[in-house]
Amino acid sequence: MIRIKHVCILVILLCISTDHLAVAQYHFGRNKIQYEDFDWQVLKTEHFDVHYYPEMKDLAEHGAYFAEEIYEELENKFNYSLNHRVPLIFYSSNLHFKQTNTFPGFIPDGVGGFYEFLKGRVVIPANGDIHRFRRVVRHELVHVFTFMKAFRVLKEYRLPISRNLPLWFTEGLAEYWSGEPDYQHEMILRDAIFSNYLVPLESMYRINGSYLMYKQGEAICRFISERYGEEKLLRLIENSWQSKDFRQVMAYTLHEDFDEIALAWSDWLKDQYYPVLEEALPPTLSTDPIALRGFNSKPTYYQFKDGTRKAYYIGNRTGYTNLYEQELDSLYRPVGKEKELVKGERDHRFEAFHFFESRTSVSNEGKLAFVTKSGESNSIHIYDLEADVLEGSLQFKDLIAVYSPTWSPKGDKISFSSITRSGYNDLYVFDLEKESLERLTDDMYDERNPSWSPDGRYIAFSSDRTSTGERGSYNLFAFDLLNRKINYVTHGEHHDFSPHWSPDGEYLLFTSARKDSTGRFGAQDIWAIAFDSEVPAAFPEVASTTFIPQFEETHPREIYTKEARRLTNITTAAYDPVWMDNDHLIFTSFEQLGFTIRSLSDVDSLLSNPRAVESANLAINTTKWNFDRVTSDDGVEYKPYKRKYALDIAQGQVSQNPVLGTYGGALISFSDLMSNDRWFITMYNLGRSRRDFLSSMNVAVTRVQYNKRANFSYGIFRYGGERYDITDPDADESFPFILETIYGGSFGVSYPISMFKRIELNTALSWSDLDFPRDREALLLSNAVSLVHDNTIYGRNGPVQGWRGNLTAAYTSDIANSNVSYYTLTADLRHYLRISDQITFASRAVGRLNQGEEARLFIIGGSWDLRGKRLYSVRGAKMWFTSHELRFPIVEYPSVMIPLLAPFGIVNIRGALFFDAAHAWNGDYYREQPQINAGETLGAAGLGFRMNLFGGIVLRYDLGYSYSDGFRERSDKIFKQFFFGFDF
Amino acid sequence: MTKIFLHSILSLVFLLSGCVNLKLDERLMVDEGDWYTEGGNDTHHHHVSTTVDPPLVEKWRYDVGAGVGLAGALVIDGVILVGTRKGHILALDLQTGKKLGRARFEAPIEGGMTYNNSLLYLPFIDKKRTIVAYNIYDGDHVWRVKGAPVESTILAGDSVVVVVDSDALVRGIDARSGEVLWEQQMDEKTGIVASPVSVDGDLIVATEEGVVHKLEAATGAKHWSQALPEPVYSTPSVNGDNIFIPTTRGRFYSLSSRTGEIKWVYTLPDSTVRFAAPGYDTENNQVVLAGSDGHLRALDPASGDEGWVTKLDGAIITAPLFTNNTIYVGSLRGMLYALDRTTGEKLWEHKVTGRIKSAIVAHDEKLVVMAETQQLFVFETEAREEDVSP
Repeated sequence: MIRIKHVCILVILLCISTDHLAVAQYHFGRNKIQYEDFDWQVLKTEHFDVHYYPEMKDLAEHGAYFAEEIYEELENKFNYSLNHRVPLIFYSSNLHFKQTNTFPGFIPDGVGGFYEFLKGRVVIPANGDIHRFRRVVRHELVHVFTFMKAFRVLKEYRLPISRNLPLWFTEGLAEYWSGEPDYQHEMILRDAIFSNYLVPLESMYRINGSYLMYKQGEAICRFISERYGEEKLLRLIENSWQSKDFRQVMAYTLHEDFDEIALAWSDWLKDQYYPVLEEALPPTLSTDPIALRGFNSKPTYYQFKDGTRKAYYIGNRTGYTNLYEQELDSLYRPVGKEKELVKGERDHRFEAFHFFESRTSVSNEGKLAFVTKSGESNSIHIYDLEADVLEGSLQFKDLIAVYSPTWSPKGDKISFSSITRSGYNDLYVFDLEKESLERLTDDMYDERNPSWSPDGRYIAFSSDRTSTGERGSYNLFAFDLLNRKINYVTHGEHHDFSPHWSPDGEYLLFTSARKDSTGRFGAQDIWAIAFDSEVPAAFPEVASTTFIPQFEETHPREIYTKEARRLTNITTAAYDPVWMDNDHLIFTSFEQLGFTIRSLSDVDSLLSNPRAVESANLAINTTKWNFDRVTSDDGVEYKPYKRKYALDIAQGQVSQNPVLGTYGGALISFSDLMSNDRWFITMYNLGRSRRDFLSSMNVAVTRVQYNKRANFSYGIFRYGGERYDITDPDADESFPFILETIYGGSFGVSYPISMFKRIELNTALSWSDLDFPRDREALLLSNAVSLVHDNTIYGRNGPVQGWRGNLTAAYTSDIANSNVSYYTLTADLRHYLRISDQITFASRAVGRLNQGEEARLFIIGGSWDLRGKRLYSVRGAKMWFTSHELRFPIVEYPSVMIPLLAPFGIVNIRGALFFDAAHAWNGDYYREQPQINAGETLGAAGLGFRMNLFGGIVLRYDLGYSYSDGFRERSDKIFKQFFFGFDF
Repeated sequence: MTKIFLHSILSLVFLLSGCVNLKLDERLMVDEGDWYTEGGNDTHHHHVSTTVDPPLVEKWRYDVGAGVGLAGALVIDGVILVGTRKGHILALDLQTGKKLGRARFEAPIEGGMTYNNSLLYLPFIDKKRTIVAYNIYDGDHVWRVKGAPVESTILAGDSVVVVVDSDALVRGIDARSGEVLWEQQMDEKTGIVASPVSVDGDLIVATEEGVVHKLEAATGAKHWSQALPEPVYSTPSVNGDNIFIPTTRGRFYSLSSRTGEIKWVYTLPDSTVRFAAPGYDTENNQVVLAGSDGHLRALDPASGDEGWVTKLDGAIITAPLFTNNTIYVGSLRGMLYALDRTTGEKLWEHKVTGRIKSAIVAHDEKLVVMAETQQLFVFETEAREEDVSP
């Protein structure tokens, strides 16, 4: 779910509201924090403007090369040239990427980059893996070409440009043309076919935006290319104007009935993958379960001094990701229910777990090291399992993304991999006693998953520094801490990851994905390789770390062969295997589109009788390689970034209101390429005649700067004309028309304390000239301060877990004439107790107070708060309100049961038992004002139904009894209210 | 009031009918140097005997209202005829740019139009009216034939009109009556995008799958077929016994028009390069082809040996045009280039408003260029100081 940056909403509302204080008190949302004020530079190549910051210049030069490289390819593939320079914005790590303002929402770990067509910008983080970076550059540039080509096609045929190609096709094509199918592609397709959830071609829209869609889309494009010719992929774009129905476009282009195409694709896949089942077994049939519920990963294991065995892993059951603890019996079977050892994603310290990136590790003394994002960088946390206490956290200056800590045997040091601002991933060792940090490698190779040997001499790790790394391979290496040399442990065109030493140090366990006889990647299985602690003379060191002199091969090496043994033969993928003892492993398994924790027994026997054995010669004639890059010899230019503003939104609106008549308005927004600096211009006119036009003109110009941690906004406004204001102090007694002209300026600052908390300060100085219903002039100064907390997580229809609150204090006064003087205090607290995955008990308590001269009225009533009352029909300068809902499911995805419902986009139907109570008053608590429902306690109780349409619209239907007079009176009839909007 | 009402109703009916007739006052006389079909004539040489030496200046431009297919415009007797993807046909005066008339149809025109014997043959991507024989003097639809959409140019002889469609069906149609004289289904589950080309009274068609056929124009009888390994999307060219076939995968073939045998094949190391329709330079005896890699290459038509190669900016998807001294070619980066016809040396370049995606045409010392966004430019040689009359 995309949550618009809170400041953006704040400012827009500030622009269109004359009552600034009303804004702050309803506003929630998490904070997207700009920890870094990047010093943007521009590298200009022939076709691209590459934006980077100085610390990652090397990486930017690689990225620029990758972009120009793929440009040439795509020019041929699309038979098309771009006529504009494409802005590329690179970040050196995922953590920096999360700070970007080019995308308004929060960016999860898995997002590799995006192309945003409004400004035509491509935004990509590197995150250590330059192969992946290169692939994402290619992927996004396929999008640029696809979009521009399709856009031109529609323009040429004079058709509306809103006709889009299906997402599965554009993403599938981007995957297909960005490189050969990777091992993850194979993993997903195997699982989809073997677990029988492959989505048919005609139903691809059902998985729009999912990872499965990407991979199935890629497979469809590959199928089209192989069966009909690669040129047909381009023809599909060129013929896209022919019909809104892409099935017809496919039939026309491929000269085959769509049903036949769909069937052929399905058969084509089965023909490729079914033979795998002859030998391989799904993980469920070959291993034992430990944690099946939800998504789980990165397991580790510890046997307590009292003999208790426990597994630890990162898991997501209900929406929050936590660190779980699961007790095991002597046969390594789970005992009892898992426990949330560390609750994640609720506060700054454990802001986010890296579900796929970072392993966990337990020392011999029972200290668990794990990583979370904590503010601007990652932290390593140490949890003493024996004492059951969080011992401390480590955060390192200049190390942005820290991953996969591993303990030294003595427990006095921790090794880990980390990405600096340069974007390269290297190995480090931190001495806990000396509090000193040592860097083991310093180059552009991607070092991952370190594992410290039981004898303390070696750190095994996975890296692309292998001689075949240029082609994307990862092998295992051992860093010898004694002589500070790196040696091969495995070699070949594989993806060897996640090494882990056996307790006796004899074997290294790892996962490996290798190509089979078809040329495609097979399953990612668990392998083991024996490790020689004393390497023979012929065993070569690996070149190219700055700590080791360049290795020059001067003579042929002797052959040094090592056998790797495959312990599993699963259909999909295994991750992060960890020894529990010499005969048992724990690992993550991918199956049925989920990640589970499983154990593998009889390892000793499997080592003797492995599923397969592969030998590799480790006497490699190492050749240092490097990724290509642009240089100044290529004619590139280096320039500082200069802000150029371009349109974000231009929206006009004409409204007709039976009370206010017809009025029109427009909102225009501009920002620079980084979206760090935004201007909002709002204009609308409330005039009823030409004579009123100028006097009723409302204009606000606001600037908001997002590039720093504190977001500043300032602007000027002029509001005028006759308007309907039910918050006017006189609205309790008269029809709330007012005629007022206001000129002024506003200033605001929003400072995020953490992702979940912020302080907002707003001030406005304005000249107010009120002509009706009373004559009054005032120079108004409004100051407000708010404290906001929000760690809720959302379901389809609204928040489901966590809590949020907003405390606001404000004072508004007329500093010239003392006509106005009132203070405001508001509190709005909402709590969501998740009883089960699908059932939430939501509670809300609100208190609001305006006190003083010309104190404005608060409003409630309607489907969003006090049900049974008309919208905003309850008003008072003071009020309290509480609401409670038991939210439960009725039907999820009804179109699965009744396919006929699919076109209506019904995502779910849910129910809610509700209870509301409120009391608004002016002056005396019990002074009754029936026209505004003040002076008595009101309430409602009943049953509601919610229907989510297309994932974005929630329809609400409530029925129940309304209560008045302190719940002493109940309405005769059941009220029925129909409205729309998310749950509170 | 009634008059205004009736006028409005008539205008509305007129608009809704989607049909505005083109009626030229003067009959166009096709002469040597006129461009009456794709590539200038049925051999698709893209060669015209006129002198348009650079530097050029823009004489006028006209917004044609929509995109135009690869085949580009026709220029006959000083009149430019353009069929657009919006289904409009425009007639413009070559000298002045004045609109002489416009006809409006309901379906887009993708392939090239052909003019012969006072009729303009229009190919539509529309199953309701695939082909229309249109009289541009009285606005009559002389005949229409339905079928699968047509994306290529119509080959119009005096008696038989040959049409190939997106279902790979080749039809011979009586030029006067519109009666289908013969049909020949080329291959199943394929289509034809490349325009047919005439050779010694027969015709050559190439399917998307890369199968080249020689048919008898009068009967549709098949003489030979040659299956190439690569798809064919661009229009071939013919000279003597040579048929030049551009493919989409970095290969360019010369076939014998008598036997269909491959005489030679020119292969690029990069198999992703898509070749555009070639042009044939009869004077220098060279076949010149451009491609998506932005290179213009001159080949020996007898051996396929590479002569000069010139790298230009942007992919090129249209055929080069030979004028008396100069080759003109446009790129998708919006560049119009003039090159020396003998050496391929770049003589002049000019940036236009957008991508050049339709064949460039020359006539009467003027160059007709179509570029995004829907602009038709006419260029002429810049007057030198000594040429300017006092």
